[in-house]
Amino acid sequence: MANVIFLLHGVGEHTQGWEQSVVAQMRAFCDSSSQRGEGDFDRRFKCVGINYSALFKDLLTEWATRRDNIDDLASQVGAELVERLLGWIAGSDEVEKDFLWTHAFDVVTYRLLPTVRDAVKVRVGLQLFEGIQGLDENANWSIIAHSFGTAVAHDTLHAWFEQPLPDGRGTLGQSRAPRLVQMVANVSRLLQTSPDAFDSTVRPGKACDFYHSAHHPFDPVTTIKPFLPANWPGPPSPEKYRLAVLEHDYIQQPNIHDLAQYLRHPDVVIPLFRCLAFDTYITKDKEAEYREKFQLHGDLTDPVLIDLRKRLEKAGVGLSDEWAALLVAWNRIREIRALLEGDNDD
Amino acid sequence: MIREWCGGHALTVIVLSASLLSPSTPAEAQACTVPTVDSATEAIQGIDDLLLSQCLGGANCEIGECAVVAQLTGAPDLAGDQLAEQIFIVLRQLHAKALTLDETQLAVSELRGMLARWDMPTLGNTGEESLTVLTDSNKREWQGSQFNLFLHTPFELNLEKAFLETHCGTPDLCRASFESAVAVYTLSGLIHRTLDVAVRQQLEDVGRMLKTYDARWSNFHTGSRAVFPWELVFNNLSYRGASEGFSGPPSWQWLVLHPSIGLSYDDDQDDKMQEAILVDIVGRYQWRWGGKDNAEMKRPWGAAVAMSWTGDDPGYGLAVHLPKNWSIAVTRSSGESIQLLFSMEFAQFVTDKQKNVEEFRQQLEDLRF
Repeated sequence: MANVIFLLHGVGEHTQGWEQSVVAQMRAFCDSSSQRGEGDFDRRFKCVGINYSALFKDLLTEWATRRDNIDDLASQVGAELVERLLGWIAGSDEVEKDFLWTHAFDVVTYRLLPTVRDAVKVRVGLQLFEGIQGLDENANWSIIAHSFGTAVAHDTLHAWFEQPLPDGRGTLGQSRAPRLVQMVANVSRLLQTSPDAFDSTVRPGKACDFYHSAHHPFDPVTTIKPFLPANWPGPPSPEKYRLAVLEHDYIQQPNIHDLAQYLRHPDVVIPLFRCLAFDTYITKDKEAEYREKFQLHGDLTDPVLIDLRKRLEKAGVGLSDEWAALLVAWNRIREIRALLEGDNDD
Repeated sequence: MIREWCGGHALTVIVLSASLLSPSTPAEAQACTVPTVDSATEAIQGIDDLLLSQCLGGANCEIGECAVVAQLTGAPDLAGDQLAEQIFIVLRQLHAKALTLDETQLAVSELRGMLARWDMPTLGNTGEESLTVLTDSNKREWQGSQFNLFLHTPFELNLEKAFLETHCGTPDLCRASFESAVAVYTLSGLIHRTLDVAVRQQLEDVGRMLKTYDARWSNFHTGSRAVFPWELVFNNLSYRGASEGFSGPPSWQWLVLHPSIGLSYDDDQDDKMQEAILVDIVGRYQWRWGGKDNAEMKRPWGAAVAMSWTGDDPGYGLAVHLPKNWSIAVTRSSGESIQLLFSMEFAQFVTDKQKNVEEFRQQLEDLRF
């Protein structure tokens, strides 16, 4: 079996095959820029899209179904308490359409509810485990995680590394670990619990061999608590960590948070494939050629670019609706917790 | 003392068959042919091709030691002392092979450095004891990763860098370096594969555990009783995951303000079965894990302080939850009337609510309450 690249998605519902467009982009890059030429990507790599979004969808669907079934009768018999309780739950129509439930819900429940977080870690851990079955001695596996997926990848790998083997001889991570963890729009610090992302085992030499992170200064999702460590991971493996801080001006589309946009940037995609394959896999000549063709602003016209830049300079105005929704969801969960804990000041 | 390296009956356990020592098919033989290289670029491409063809200690590797390891990894499940003994015999053989390599050549001193950490002759008194020492270490250090060997150890080496910087100055040097790199990479890979046999069963168990946990979590969050969001939040307050590694769900839940549809029996009405809402104010629900993948909820039951509505004043009382999602409750309203309620969990009603309610009503009335 070839080297396996697992891709972890960000927030929101993802269907099977969600990774195909990103894989096509990576394949095209290797076809044109690797020294081994066209067709090498498929000979060398097998890409596997990890999907954990179904877990959130199942939860929401179950709630919605139960609400739909009881709502009318509760109203009919005058069970006001029940009606009020059910008001917290999204109906079937909202689950599909409302950003609060389709996106923000994932992040909020993952961060605040340990049972959800542990279930996600198990779901992802299982898919990783099944994906590396039969992997040859000469092959390796790596992870490319995006946005919310970076937090999920971090937490899963920390658990993976520490998972004791049944007979107590060593851990799962001592036997199986990814070569490269490529974090794109890294929010592992934003959603960290314990241990925090800088202190966990997810670092070169422990839960992985190499750790790359890509950061866009204008990406509103990552700027709250960016992954920009000063002295990390420290000895003995500082050279196995690579941080790509992209230009403020790197704007090719309205959604600068997009995985594909990050993976088009030469500071991300070239080190990525040099690590996944080998250093001269992308030769200096090929690198120069790619950088020459690379356009910071893609196909954007000047007026569109100026408008986008203005909006992004206003601290992520372009995503204001989503963030507002996230805040509402966050506060709602906190309210319930505070109520149950009898702490009305929280 | 440990057994002598190649002595005793133990060596007979590994019988090298002639078929394993020779190339199995012409195509594989061609894939694993070590090329002649004259430059760093050719050496790098040569290693890359051998890795992609799984020749450097991988599945298509063909040197004698590869066959020994293939036989070990393909052996039926062994356990305990017998497994440790066989693993250790192979490790000794690989160790002996490493000692035959020329230490002045590329990567050989690093390989010897790695092996010296084991001090094999005095490692342990038994194979099992020795194996514990070996497997407690980070086994991944032995697994080549692209052009990196012995990653995260003092003996770490990047073959690509070595070819480009110093080991391909002349065609002869390059050729010797390449052959040495192939030999070391292969031995390192074989050692890793051998050590991996010791944890193979353990890893399979971890895989099964993950599958079980995943199914259990699904049931915990969507197939159990306390699945409403406020119940999820409440249950999270008392949830404690594993201190290390992955966690499975508990086998119990708090029921908190849990509403369900039920039927109340009222002897004074013409229609003796009235639709009702039953709410578990607070209670506990528990089960045992069993069935397929040990992830099905078996023998669930629970009890709760409950309240009910049938259109009049709410009543308060007790509810008992039984297997197959049945619940029975007795409540008393402020008008002093006592109500007997029967409830089934929503999953039973999802497909055709009205029809199921009617069927449920009919079943209960047939019981001649």
